[in-house]
Amino acid sequence: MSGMILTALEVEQFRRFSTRHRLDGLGPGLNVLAAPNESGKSTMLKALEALFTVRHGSKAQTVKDFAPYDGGSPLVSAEFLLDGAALRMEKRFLGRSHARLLEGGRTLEGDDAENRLQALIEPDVSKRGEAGVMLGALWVAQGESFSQPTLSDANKLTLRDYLGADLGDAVGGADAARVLKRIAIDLGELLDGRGKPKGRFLTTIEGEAAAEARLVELNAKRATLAEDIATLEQTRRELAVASDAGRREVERAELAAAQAAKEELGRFDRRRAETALAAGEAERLTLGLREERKRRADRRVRLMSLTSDSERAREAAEAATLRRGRADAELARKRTAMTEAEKVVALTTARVKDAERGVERLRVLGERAMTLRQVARLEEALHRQETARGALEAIRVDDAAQRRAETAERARAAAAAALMAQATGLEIALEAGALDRVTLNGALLASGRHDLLEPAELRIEGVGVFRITPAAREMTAGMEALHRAEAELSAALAAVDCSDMHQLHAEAERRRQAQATLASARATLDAVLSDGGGKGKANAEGTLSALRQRIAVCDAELERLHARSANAATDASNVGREPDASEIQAARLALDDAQQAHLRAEQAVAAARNDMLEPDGAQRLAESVLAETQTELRLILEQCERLRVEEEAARAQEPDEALAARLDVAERALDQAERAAARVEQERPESNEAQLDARIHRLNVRIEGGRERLSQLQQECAAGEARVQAAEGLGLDEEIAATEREVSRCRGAKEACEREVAILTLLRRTLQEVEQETVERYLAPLTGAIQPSLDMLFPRSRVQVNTKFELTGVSRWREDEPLEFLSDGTREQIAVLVRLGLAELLRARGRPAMLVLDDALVFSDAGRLSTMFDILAEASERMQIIVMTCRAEAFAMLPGRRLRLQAVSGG
Amino acid sequence: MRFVHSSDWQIGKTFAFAGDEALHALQAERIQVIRRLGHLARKEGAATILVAGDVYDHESPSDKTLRQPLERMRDFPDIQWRLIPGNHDAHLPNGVWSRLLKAGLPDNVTAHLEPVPTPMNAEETAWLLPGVLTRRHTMTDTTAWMDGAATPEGAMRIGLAHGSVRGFSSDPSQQTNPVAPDRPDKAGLSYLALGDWHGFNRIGPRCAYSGSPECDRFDTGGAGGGESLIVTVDAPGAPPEIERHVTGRFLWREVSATLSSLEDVRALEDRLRAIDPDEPSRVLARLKADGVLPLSAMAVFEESILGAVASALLLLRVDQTPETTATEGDLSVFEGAGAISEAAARLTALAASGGPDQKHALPALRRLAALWRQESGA
Repeated sequence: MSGMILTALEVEQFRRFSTRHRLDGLGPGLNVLAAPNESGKSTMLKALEALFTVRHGSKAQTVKDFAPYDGGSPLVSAEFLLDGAALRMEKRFLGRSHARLLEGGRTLEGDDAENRLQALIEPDVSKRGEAGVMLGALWVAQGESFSQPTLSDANKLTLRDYLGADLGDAVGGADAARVLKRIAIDLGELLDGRGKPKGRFLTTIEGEAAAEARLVELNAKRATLAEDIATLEQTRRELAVASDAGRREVERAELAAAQAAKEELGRFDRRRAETALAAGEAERLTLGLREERKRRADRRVRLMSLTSDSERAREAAEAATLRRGRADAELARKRTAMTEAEKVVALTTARVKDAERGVERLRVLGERAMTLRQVARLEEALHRQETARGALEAIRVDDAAQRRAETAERARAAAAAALMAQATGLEIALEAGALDRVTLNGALLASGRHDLLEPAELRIEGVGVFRITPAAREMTAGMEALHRAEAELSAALAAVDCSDMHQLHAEAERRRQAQATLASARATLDAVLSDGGGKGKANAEGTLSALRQRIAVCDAELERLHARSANAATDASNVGREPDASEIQAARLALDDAQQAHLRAEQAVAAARNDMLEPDGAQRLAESVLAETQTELRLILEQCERLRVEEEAARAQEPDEALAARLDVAERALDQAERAAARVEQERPESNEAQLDARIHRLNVRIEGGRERLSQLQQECAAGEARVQAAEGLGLDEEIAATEREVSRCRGAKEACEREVAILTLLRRTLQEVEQETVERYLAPLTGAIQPSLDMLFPRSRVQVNTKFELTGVSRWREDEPLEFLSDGTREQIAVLVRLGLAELLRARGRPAMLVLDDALVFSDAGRLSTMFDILAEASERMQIIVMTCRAEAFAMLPGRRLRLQAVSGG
Repeated sequence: MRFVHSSDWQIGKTFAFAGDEALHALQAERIQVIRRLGHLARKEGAATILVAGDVYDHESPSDKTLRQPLERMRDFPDIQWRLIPGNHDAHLPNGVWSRLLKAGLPDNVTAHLEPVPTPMNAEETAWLLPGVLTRRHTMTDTTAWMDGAATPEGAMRIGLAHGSVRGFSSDPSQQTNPVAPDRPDKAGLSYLALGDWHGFNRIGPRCAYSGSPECDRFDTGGAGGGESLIVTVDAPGAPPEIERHVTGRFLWREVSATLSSLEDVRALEDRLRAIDPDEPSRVLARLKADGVLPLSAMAVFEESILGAVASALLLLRVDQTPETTATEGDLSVFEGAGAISEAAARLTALAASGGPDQKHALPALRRLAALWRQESGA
């Protein structure tokens, strides 16, 4: 193991330690100081930081805080190995401050010692003139275990240099940062923190907007000015007209002329009306006379024409009369034939009806005979049913009585069997010679079993007498039961008048036969009823009544037919007889013949009627023609008569000659009147009344309102001139041009700013991308150094470190977890791993690396803690690690040297 | 007869591309040139100055703008100033000329607002025939009336008009404010003094545009402006003698260059400074620089041209700058610069790859180079 190895640490008058105390047992690898709270562990770490990171002459507050509560000059000394060389560094702060470094055989004092120490442990930082704390960043004070290492800017630059030293392309990162700073300054002049325009950029935008608004305003004013100028010009023209005195005289003359013209127009209208009236009168008279003359001529022509027409009409009427006579004769002949045919039809109709009645009579006779047979069958079936029902009702044994008797019989048999079971059994086997020598109760006893219910006497001839007595008590009960059963059986039999069970069974059989007979009779009745349309007894009576009624109907129908029949006597003798088939067939044939004859007669009538159609039509036509010609002739004659009357009346009123003379006079008067009207029309004035009225009105208004209008126009003109003058004085066109130039200028400046922003933004983005990628590349060794430990704690995860070497989060299972979302325990463990990674990085660059953890990992569970122990143990093979804890039990499993913190005697 | 011919003063003109300082200088000089015209007339023995329209740039100038030229002309009571409206200051109802009349013209200033012949001298041997624009654009020739205008027998007829002898539209019927080029012949004019074109242009033996007395644009046609004419007509039928005099102060120049190296940039700087080495502050230049410059040369271009030269001249208007490319030499500046070098490489690649940031990539690279030089002390 190379690098830095602390071998001893002593303090005196340092915070809680007034006397000299020493941390013993330090050595390479893992060192563990397990001590209770308030034992001074954190003080020792603070002393270590003071020794390596604070210059002895510092008067900073942090240094003052080193002093013990009762005052004094804090003293810290440490012995350590650096790349194998033994060194001892001692610093006293505040009063009597000094620094001393023992290196090999030489001793350096004061700043020399400080500078040498920095040169040894952090040469890069010391070059920058800053008391470096790179090493201190690896030391975790109490309560800081889950916060990230505190790195000064100098530390960061050192780290960048360390990381970049192997990467070559990272050179210039600082240059890029400086250029970016310049870009930020330049951009800051144009954009604010939110990227909004500011400064001259904003000024140009606002200037452009203001100039555009001003331009709109000016253009509006310019348009108003143009309008005002046009209005003013118009007003001036109107004013010139209004103020022209000569023009007013002209207008008055025009008015007088117009009024005179209107009067002339009135006179003309009157003259024209008079001539028109005279002409109209002459025209009306002339037209009336001409019309009368024409009327007379027309009437005469019409009268001549009508006379000719009346002759023709008379001839036509005569011809029509002859034609109608011929048609009447032909029609009468056809009507006679028609009458004959209709008579034949009447005869055949009577025959058909008679034949139909014959057929109907035979049908009714048949129906009556059949109904009589049904009545007989029904009455017989009813009789059979009543007979069977009487026989059944005479038998007293029914199913219930039979069941009662049979039950009593079974009870009696059971009682007898029980009694027999109580009997004394006597098994006899007689020899052939003794058959007649043995008697029981005096009777010869045969071989076999004998049951004895009562005392018995057995006598064997030649032997003696044997008295046998069965057990009397049980025997008596059995006998009583048997007697009761027998009594019940006797009562059951007596109820149905039977002496024994045999008779009972015979009676029961007889009852079954009677029931079968009744069922058969009912079936027969049902069959008959079904033929007659009824069922059951009630229906049977109804059916019987209906059948008898039908017979009565048939009799009535036969009576009616007899009354109409041509053979009434014969038919009456046959009533009540059923007709045979031949008789029916003969009647039907007679009917067919009659119907055939009737059909032929009807066809003959139809033919006769058809023959009548044509003569009938001819007769009607002739009648019609005759009526028309007679009407026409009458009308013509009437017209002729009327015209003659009119002609005579007209002549009587005024002869034709007088009418012609009067018409000649009227036509001359009309010609004179028309000439006079034409002469008047030639004098018509050019203007009409409406035009003259409008002109007079206009001139009146103009003349009467001229003074007022003149005043108004003068005021308008003055106001317009004032407006135009005021507006022109502003130099609108000039201002518009200047404003357009301002718009253009602002727009150009704005576009230049936009280009500048775009250029700077692109440059900044490009540089930032490059810097980010570069930093990521040179951060790779750091993340690489952390990764092995991280894999042990969180497999398949990666830490995320930004360009400021700040831990920002962890990627686990391809998901990014920001640092603030991690638990305290995880953050604490990862923070320790980051320090381990930094230490590995420093060590790999040949720089001193030593890790100190003061009460770290307090949020870790047992499992994680165990893994962290493994990680620390593994790392301690390459660097010295000092672990200080108040949790001795929890850290008992952490291997390593056990340190002691104790007072040094004589200090 | 000897007179000064000028036109297109366009008092009150605004120059959108100019900064405030240049704008004020340009506007002030347009007033100041009136004095130089008066002095020119005195020096050349001309009693009359004809101004062929567009005295003002706007139809409604401010009162101060309106009065400023009048006051300058009032300073020369021995000179007769004869003005007509132009298309910028047409004689509209209640327009700028009405205001002028209302404000009161100096005795030596005449506004010709009606197309009627007016004697130019007491002897009435020379008559002015003014063409008057009563609208900004008109399709009729305002000089047409001159053909039949009556003047005393043997009198000299001088035409004064504002319009264009040659239209820019392909359809002649659409040409606005036309002036027949042969009007001097048709109307028997000894000379037709025209305005509208801002550079001198002689249309014929007896017809010319004087141009603006103070140049006002980079692309002025003709001779470029900044001139006034002394016209001498000895007799009514004699051809006029036309002398050109520089009256403008500012030099307006268009400069084009194709730049591909540091040497080109230096040469361009020399050209710009050589326009007027003695008084560069009266130079206005419009620069169109194309080509492709390495970053290092571009930095010099920005420093020397856009920085130093632009400050030396009254105005440097840059319409086009060369493209930039990052050469190996440029990128070598970043050697050993780590992240800076990588960023430069990325910007170079971005400039060649397209996309929304492409147009900003090379400027960003230039900025990076500048910052890096400052940071590294290179």
